[in-house]
Amino acid sequence: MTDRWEPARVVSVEECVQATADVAALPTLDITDTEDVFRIDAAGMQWDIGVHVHEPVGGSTAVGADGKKIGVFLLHGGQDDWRQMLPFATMLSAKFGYKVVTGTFPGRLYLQDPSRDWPGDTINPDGTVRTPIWLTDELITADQYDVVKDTRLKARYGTRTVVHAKPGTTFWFRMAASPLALEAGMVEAMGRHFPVDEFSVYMQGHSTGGAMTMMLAQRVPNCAGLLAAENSMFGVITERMQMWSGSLGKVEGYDLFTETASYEGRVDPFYEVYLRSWRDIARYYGPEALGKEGPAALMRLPSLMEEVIEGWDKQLVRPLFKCEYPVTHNIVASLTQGAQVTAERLGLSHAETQEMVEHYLGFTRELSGPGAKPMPNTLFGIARHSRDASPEAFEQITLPHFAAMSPAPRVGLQHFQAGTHMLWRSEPDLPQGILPAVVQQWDQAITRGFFVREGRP
Amino acid sequence: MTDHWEPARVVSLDECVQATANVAAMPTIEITDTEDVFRIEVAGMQWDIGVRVYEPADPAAIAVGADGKKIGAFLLHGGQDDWRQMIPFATMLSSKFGWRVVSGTFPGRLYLQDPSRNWPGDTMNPDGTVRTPIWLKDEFITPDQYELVHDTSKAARYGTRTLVHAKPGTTFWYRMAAWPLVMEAGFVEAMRRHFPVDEYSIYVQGHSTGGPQVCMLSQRVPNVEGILATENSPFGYIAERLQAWGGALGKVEGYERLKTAANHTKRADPFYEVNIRSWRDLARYAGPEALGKEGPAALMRLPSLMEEIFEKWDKLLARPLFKCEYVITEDIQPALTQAAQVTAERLGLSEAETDEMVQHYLGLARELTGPGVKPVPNTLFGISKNSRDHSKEVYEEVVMPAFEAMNPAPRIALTHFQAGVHQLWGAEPNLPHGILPAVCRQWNQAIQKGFFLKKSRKIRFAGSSVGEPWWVVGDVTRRLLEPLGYQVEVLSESGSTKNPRYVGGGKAELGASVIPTIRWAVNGEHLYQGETFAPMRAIGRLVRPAWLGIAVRAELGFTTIEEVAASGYPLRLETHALDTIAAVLPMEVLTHYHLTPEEIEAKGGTTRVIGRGDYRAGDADFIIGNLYLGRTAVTQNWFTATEHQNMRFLELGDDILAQLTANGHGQPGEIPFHFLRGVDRPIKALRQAIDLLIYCPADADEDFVHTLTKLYDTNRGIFFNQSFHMAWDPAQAVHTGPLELHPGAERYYREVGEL
Repeated sequence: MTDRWEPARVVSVEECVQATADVAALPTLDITDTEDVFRIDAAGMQWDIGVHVHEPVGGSTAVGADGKKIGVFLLHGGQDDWRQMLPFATMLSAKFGYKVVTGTFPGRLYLQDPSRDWPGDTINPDGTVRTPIWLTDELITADQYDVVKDTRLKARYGTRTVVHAKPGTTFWFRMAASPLALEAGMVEAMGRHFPVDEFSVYMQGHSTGGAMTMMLAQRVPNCAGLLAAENSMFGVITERMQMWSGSLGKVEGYDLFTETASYEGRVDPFYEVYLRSWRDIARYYGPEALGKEGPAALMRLPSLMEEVIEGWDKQLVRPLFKCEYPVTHNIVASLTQGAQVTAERLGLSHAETQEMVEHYLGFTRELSGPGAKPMPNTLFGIARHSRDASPEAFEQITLPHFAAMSPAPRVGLQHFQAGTHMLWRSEPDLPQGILPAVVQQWDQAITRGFFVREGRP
Repeated sequence: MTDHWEPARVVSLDECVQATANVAAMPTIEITDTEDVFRIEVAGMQWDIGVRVYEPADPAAIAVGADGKKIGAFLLHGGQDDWRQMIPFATMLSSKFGWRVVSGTFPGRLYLQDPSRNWPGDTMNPDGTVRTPIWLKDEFITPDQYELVHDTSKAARYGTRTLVHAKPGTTFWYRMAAWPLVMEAGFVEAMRRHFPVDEYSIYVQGHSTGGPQVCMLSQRVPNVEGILATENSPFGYIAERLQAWGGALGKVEGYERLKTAANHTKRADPFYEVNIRSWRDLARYAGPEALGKEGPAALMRLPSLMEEIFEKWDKLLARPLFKCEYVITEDIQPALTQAAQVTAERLGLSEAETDEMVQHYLGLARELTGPGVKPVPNTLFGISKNSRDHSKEVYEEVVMPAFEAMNPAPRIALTHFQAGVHQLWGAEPNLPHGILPAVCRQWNQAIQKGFFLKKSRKIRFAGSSVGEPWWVVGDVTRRLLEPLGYQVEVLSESGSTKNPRYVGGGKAELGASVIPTIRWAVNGEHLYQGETFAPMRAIGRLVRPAWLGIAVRAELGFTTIEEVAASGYPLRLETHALDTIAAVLPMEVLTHYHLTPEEIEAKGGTTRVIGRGDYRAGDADFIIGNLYLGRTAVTQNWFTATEHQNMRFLELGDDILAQLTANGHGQPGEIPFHFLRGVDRPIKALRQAIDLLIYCPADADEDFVHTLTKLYDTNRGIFFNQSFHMAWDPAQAVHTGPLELHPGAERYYREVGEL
């Protein structure tokens, strides 16, 4: 494995600016954007799964270093749908000729309207809230949940509005089974659009989506690499990273704010849906403003708050709720209970229930042992002003964890000297954030052999 | 000027905690709270003004200050609020310290339509209407009288501002033009109603925006005796400089200023503009204050920080939450001018009357000056640790120099509390009432211990006979101090030996004398044996040439002192009065030559005080006395004697010159040729060490002495142009032995590099 392409450890602001110009100068291919909504059966229930497919017109899909067509599977962050990943999908397809499939978490697609725009607000004056729709026309009614105001995680989130599904309701059972639907649904999506013999698949999950793509990487046979820019880790790693910083993360140039933090680990039950609010914009906006502007950002707090509120108002048609914490934060008790509820509903035996529990717990860590597909090579990327993804956290927790895998994948870590967690956000001289630089690195990695595993063609 | 209380420059967090406990431990006096809403007519319109009065239920329990009068406090709230903001102050001052407190509400800010005074609804409504002032009960500003404007020109400090602009010709327009006059007249009337001049001294406090208003009122209410200026913005023109200093973003302790005056744009709010408040107006303080209290970590918890702001805002909705006072608080002269012109035009005033009204409006943003104007009272500034606009630096660089430059300048002091925020009553760990108890306690001490007593403007200067050097120095002092409002009396009865007894004995605040006299007084020597004096300090030293002159009537034929002494001639001696300090040196010389009065009388001669003889009759044979350049009470005798008589000047022998030098009287010198008739050559004589010291009691007010020293030094030419020869030489002014420099003088000399 000599003479191979090595990712730059640091990508400077100037290089990000140059990459933006380079990508803009690439020819723009005609692409198509099609929606594929399909129904699957998982855990004895039907689920509607939706993905969007972006690809060059005429089948001129680019080919990687392994000689196969390049397919990319994208997953959005915690509160969103496929639309969050449009900047990635269109750039990868129109500029680099990839076929891109962008998934939406089960329940997150607004199946009731072709626009997929969620109506109204997340929290309504009458006490009702927005809830997932896992199957067209199956709506969760208000009698199936209780609304709870939670301040346990105030340092990071402020006051959280959560709904708790009532036992025995459709909501309850859907919540218990949704991890299985996510697994099965996304595996099916890739099976439909990336034939194994034709495509190598590279996965990127933004933030919460990262924990899902890591899980899927070992469950999709032709997944050849993880494109992990601002991509959360397996639940067991994220759990440790959150503990490391007291859940407040770390901003470059500042020490850990351990005095402010009072984190004791997450205990979200499987039946809990977190309704987003402007607070979820603010919890990134504050640390990112600190990184970009320094403490002086507090001197302009009114306008900072306006930006948060305006950002929120523009997002209301997106789903803006989330229930993936049991997987993303390795909440063993919740996963166990979710599995048990599902098993009980399915009438499984004790042994089968135990198997189901193990299956659920396996979502938060790499699979190992005989027959397990090894973790693919992984190219990590972090933005300069990301609160949760700091070089220190990677060096102390993530990279050692990957190095300890058996077999250990090849990994690279790139620290972009600009950008925020939402890495496509514009900044001075970077109208698309660091996205062009990130995507350019990915393309070089794919076409110059970074993801080609030792001993394999 | 003496023995006054000085406020602490810094009050530590621990001291704030202790003050909280101390105030809590004080007995709680039963108080009453009454509302007084009265109607006044100003600028041809009627206005309803409301104040609250808090006072001990038992009138006998009202506290009395150091000036012997009852203590009254007049409070004004900050920009967007009403009297309720000041309730924590009012109740603490009244129930714990026994003050009578009147708490005003800006005109238009009191919700006159309901006794609860709670403003209904929100400040901005979904239908595009907004909350507007109510200046007169039942008179509402209708939406057709204004336009709504969203302004982002000040986004860095305010975010997006929602403004309403009154339309020309509407009631709203004319009320907006006239309210500054009402702010003035309404509160003058309020204080008149509740603080009788002969009974009360009033101390005023205006929180934030209320500050420029109470500064303005302090010169318009005869019995306002002090400004309690804690987190209190100053006069508008100073507040404008304060804002400019920090580029309108202020400064948080421990962090650098983000902007300076160089990149500040002065406000240009028109007179017809009302700011409608929102949560942004809480955030613009909460952000910097969180930075001060928590540091950058506050940004890591932005969601909860925002929640705190929104929650606090929701609780405030019953308050007025609009503001239109920037025209005064930031000295926006075009707006004040236009408002005055609009009002004058409505009233049909002449051009001259309009100009007068414009000047009146402009005067609301600065101190009044000129003859007959009440001076700005003494002012005790206080700032809290985490206040964005009131930093120590801006007070030292902008606010305090502006007050020092006033004419006359009030006594001022600055206390920096090491806790608290702009809303200084806001709870903090271990400080359930914020720094308010510490602030109120300090105010009470200041009032009770005389901080606000007017400086004694009557100064007694211990001089000497009219026209004599010490008197001349006193007269120079009078001329320098009178423009600052002082009345200086130059005492003529404090000449010679008496001078230190006046300055060191409480009979004069200032004095001038010669160095030997002061040394002897300090050391209890010569005529001062057994006497004690209050500690004295020097302000500066004036140099002058002086000699011991000795002359004999030429017709007697003597050419040396020895010849005089050896003869049996019945000499008629003239010298200084023997019982005065001025005679010490002549007596030492006369003793040396055996020409003492006793020895002269033994030969049939006489001794007389210099100048008492009739020189035209030639009845002075031998004169020995102080001689210096200039026509003064003493030297004029030398002039007369030498004009009317033929006098031969005699030289001291080397032995006595050496003795006198050794005894500290001076050093060998020469009387200049032709100085007097008969000085027909340079005369070898003692050059006396009798430079002048200007001095004062050691406990004289430091700021006063600093000011006076500066006046002397920067007007040094005035000394050089008097009737005798003296000079304020900066190189010599600081050498004031046997007295140490007064701290005020020393501070000045260090500031200008003369020390």
